[in-house]
Amino acid sequence: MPRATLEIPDSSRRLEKILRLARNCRYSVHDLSCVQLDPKKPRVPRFNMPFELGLCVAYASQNKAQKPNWFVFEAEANRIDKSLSDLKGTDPRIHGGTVRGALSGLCNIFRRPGRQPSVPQMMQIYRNLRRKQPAILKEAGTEDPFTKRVFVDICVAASAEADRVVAD
Amino acid sequence: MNMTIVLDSTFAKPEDVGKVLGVPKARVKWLKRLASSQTIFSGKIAEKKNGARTSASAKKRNHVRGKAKKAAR
Repeated sequence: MPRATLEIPDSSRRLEKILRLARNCRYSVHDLSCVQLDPKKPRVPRFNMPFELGLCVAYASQNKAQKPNWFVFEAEANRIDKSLSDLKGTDPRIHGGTVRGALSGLCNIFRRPGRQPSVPQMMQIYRNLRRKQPAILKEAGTEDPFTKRVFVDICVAASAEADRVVAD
Repeated sequence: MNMTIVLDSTFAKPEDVGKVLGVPKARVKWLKRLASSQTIFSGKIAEKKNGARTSASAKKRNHVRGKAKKAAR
């Protein structure tokens, strides 16, 4: 079941909620390709993603019994060696800044005996959701897709699409 | 760390996802209906013009066909 820090509203206890979310998830996926300068002033890099990755790495290293359960995605090969050299030795999944690349990377990480969606099926689900996104945004009364309500609605709609597209 | 995880959980149903993420049942029902609908035409995306559906971008470029194109001229 997908969870994201988007679910957490901005508040003074945001960090605690992020930690709780990380503890409750068996696996975490971190895309560091968007760590870049904010176009709006003041132009500072957004460090939330690497910070959340650090929290998950620290939590996983505390639990010796648990296998490492965090995965890193990047758009370009070798970029992470410069931006986050502490992670040297970790092979990030390179998605090339494309949806297909990200879905292919996820397919390579997570396997399931039996019902397993293929990348073309996942792309079909993605395209269908893109078509239905305006209706979801309208219902949520926003134009910003990065809100809690839109995220959870998209998760439910994606699950319904997967039910339709991926055969048992 | 280039490993593969074999998931042991079952494929989540929309109702399960809604329950975990705190989506009300009525909205789950609406989202399921939305997912099963094949085409969505809202006034903003497309409108009917002389019997032909033309997308917003086609209207701008005057790429409509036949009768609708003649009417547009």
